[in-house]
Amino acid sequence: MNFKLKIWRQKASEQNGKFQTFRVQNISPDTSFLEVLDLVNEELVLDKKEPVAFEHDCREGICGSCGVMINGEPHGPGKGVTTCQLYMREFKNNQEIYIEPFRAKAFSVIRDLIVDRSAFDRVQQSGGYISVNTGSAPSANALPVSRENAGRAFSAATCIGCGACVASCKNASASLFVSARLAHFSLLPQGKAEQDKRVLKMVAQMDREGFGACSHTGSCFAACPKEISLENIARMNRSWTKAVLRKRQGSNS
Amino acid sequence: MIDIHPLKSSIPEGPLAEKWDNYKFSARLVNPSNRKKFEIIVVGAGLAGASASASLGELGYNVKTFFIHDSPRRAHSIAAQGGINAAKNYANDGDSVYRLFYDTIKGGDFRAREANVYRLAQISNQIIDHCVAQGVPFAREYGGLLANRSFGGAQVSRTFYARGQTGQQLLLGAYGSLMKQVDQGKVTLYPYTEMLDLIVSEGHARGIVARDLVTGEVTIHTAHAVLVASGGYGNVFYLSTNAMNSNVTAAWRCHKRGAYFANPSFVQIHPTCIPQSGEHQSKLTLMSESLRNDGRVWVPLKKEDSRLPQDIPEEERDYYLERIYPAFGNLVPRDVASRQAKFQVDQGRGVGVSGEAVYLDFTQALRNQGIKGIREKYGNLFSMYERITGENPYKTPMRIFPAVHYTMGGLWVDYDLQSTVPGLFVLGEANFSDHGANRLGASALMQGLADGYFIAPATVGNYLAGLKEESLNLEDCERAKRETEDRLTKLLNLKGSQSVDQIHRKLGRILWDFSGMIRSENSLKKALEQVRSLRQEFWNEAVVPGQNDYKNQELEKAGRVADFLELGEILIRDALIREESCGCHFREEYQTQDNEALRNDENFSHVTAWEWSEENKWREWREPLSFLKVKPSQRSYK
Amino acid sequence: MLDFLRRTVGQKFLVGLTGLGLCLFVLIHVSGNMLIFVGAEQYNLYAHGLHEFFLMEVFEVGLLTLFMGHILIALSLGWKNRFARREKYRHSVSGDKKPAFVHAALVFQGVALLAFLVWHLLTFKFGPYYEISHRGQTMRDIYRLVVEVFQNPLYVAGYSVALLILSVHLGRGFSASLKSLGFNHPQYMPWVERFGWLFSALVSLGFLSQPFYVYFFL
Repeated sequence: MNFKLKIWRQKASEQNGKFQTFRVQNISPDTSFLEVLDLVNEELVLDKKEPVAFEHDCREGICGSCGVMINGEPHGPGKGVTTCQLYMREFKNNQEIYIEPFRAKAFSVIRDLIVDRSAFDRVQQSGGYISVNTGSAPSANALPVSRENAGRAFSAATCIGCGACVASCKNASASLFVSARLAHFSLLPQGKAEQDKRVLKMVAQMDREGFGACSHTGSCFAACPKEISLENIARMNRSWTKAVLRKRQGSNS
Repeated sequence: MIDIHPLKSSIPEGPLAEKWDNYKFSARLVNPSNRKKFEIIVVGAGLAGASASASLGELGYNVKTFFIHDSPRRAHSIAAQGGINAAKNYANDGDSVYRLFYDTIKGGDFRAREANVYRLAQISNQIIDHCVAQGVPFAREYGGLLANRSFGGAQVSRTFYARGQTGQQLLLGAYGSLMKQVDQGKVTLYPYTEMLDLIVSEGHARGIVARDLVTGEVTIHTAHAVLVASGGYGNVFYLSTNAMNSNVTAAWRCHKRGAYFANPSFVQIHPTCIPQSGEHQSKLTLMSESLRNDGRVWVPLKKEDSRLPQDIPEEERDYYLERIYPAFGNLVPRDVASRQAKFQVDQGRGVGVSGEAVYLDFTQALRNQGIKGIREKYGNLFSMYERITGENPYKTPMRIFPAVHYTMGGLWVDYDLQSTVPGLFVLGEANFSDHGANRLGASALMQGLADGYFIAPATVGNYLAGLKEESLNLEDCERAKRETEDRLTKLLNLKGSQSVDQIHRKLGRILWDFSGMIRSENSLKKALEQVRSLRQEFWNEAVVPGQNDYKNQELEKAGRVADFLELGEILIRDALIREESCGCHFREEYQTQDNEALRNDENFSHVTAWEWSEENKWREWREPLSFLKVKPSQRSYK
Repeated sequence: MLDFLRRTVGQKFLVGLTGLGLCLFVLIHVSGNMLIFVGAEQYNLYAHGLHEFFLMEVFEVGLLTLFMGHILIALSLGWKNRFARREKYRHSVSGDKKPAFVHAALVFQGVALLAFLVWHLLTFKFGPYYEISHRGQTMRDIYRLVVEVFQNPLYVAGYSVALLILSVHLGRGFSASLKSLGFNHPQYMPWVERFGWLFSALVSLGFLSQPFYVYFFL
């Protein structure tokens, strides 16, 4: 197969970027999308030119490193896949493919297709955990958790933090990410103790990072490689409201 | 020039079951109010690194955690699928700490240290308690209690799991605890920062030299102890199931500063991976070995048979695992299954375009259990296979082939997980300690977390409490930094005609062909020669474009491949001098009549630890292994 | 409580809450409008009755608050959302992952509706004041005004467009409001969404029936 790739090149966040065109030929349909970028880069390197910077690591859809906009779709065509799980058989021969970084105010471009997603870490840091010091845990089976809730908590916790939800949202909202992290904890009895504090802090941090608000368009769900449920967003809204209404004077969140 | 060197394993006194308690009782403690005076560097943020950083932060130490990714949650621990073992005996099927210990020692083919493995089995239960409290959503029974499954051929159900994403869930737990400490100001994160050297001053590890991968800045970070949890070196083979950025560099820099490297030839090869589809392929994808519960492995009887699998009649197929191992059939351990696949391929009976694969056939299971039954069990694996290969495994047999998966070898550590450099501790896959010559399924997560949550906090405290006054010579820091910068310049000056990847691919090919699943004196000698000349080729002909002062991924790669090229040599030499077969190390010359690994306990019941003496010269040391509790036996799966 | 104004989640909550209040308002409004089919007298009497109702001022203030709250908070959110993406995508969103048209721009629909609202108030509330006497009482002849206005095809066309936008805004906004308030359940949400569209269709058709009735049948 042959393709015409238009790849976004940008030296640093404060510099302007532009598309650069590459033609690739004789690609097997079983080649992965990132392997095509590897091929482009290998040629650039042999020409002693700067290869395209792109983030990737596990290449099996779990680490959340990779993620670019491919023809206007985060992680490209196909549901429930990350960029690294995308194969060229999904494209038409001679297709023109535009490749851009995930764009959001909170995700500044580091280089070419790499963006800074540390905002997610700061949201996590603000409350995305259950406080338990090593050594202080009770016996594992002391607290039964219904199989159904464990399953739903797990489904929320499968979020890989890739940022496709932010990338696809017209408001660059991080609601799906934040709410999935919250749902993981709020569905488990272990997470109940600090639930109010957690939701208030994480929502506050989400706003501080400059993400937009949720307009319930559902495009995050369509883009999510792990198909995280939109239900989580309503759950976040609900528990946030409860937390605000329950908040007492002088509490520190 | 082999010495029986006093590689001091520092195993505590007392009966096996009491050693860890004795250790904790006799260990020196750091007064809680003094802990904030100590700085600890942790390199790596996977299961071992994140759990150690969090636990040390909770104790009150000042922790600085370095990792090469943008976020701690990207470490490759996240990709572990199967589960984590613990001796809870919830299934009431006769499991115990002792049995987990015994299985691990036996699975490692009697090449691991008894005391370490026993401690691992003891701690396994605490890990589960802690992870559940952190909110790790393990699978549950209808009553709400934790579910277990049997995994990797174990005869008891002791594996805790979260669907096929156990590693992800455990890592998120550790990441949460870590981020809490970051919020409390006890841990400082250094994302996109790669350790490029270890600072050793007055004989003690006192810090690291690190490079900011975004700005290129090289900086000195000092501390009172350094913990390296940078993972395994499977990517030395180029193609492996490891992540693209997994590398040996941090560990290797420690090695070059005096930490011995133990058993580098012990590399585990996983039997059920999706085979390579072409030269362009960058990595291999693992599929859970649970597939072998229902899939039947076969190859055509005829050599180079190019017919489609469905056109090959039953009587012209060789279900070789069932034929050779009637008792275990398709469920033989990983190393055996992998080796047999290679035997078949070497005889020209491999399948697929490359001829480097065997079939894993579900026809019979589909007939017995129906499409629905199979989809429930393996639906996600089947769709993953289809996505990658474009073939529908419900209709045509899967093609599988073994791939490098885990490295049991690593930096040598004593019972305290301390390397031969005082103050340098090594955790998780980066050390060699617990798995001997072969790791059992669902034990890697257990070891990483045991090291990070429970062992390092105790042993690092013991070290710090005994630390004599300041021993930091600033000149040592500056020198390490200068050397790092010189090396970066040297790499950036490479303007030859081969890409770093091309050379890495060649290295992988050499190691896989001559020092992979099956090795012989001849093949290893050939490999040794080729790796040495490839190393020359790298420094003469590689090309590294660009500059230092921005995100330069080729420069990152080049540094890592340069280290792999050095590691490759001792991997081969380690395989060469171990004149026996054990676990994953299979020497053609040393096998039983039935092609099984033939151990030589008389001469090789030891750990080999390599000391870097001068540029690409090593000195070999041995730590004898004595088995007081278990009696080494010959494995048999007939 | 200030958090409701400070945080996006709180602001969305308020937009949702006021939105549902406005849904109730349009329902009452459209029900009253149906009296046009009964006759001029009933129509005017109803309007007059509303005006004379002693709590009307309270309701009007309440209604104004609902509108202003809904509009101002939504606009400020829209403003923030615009800046959440500093640099636009060069290749616009497409393919399967593109959001459906109705989701595209709630806030732009809102701005259009705001313009319509001003026009609507100028036309009727602050429009020409005709008087008429029913059952011995002098009152505003709002019926006459409606009939006059909708003789003009431009008004009919303008209202049709505005009501089409309203129907999308309502149909989409009803379920979104509930989501902002924290309700979303896989079992019930599809029905809630259908109900929202049904509600919006009924309300919009109800409103639309007036200009069409007047234009074609009076």
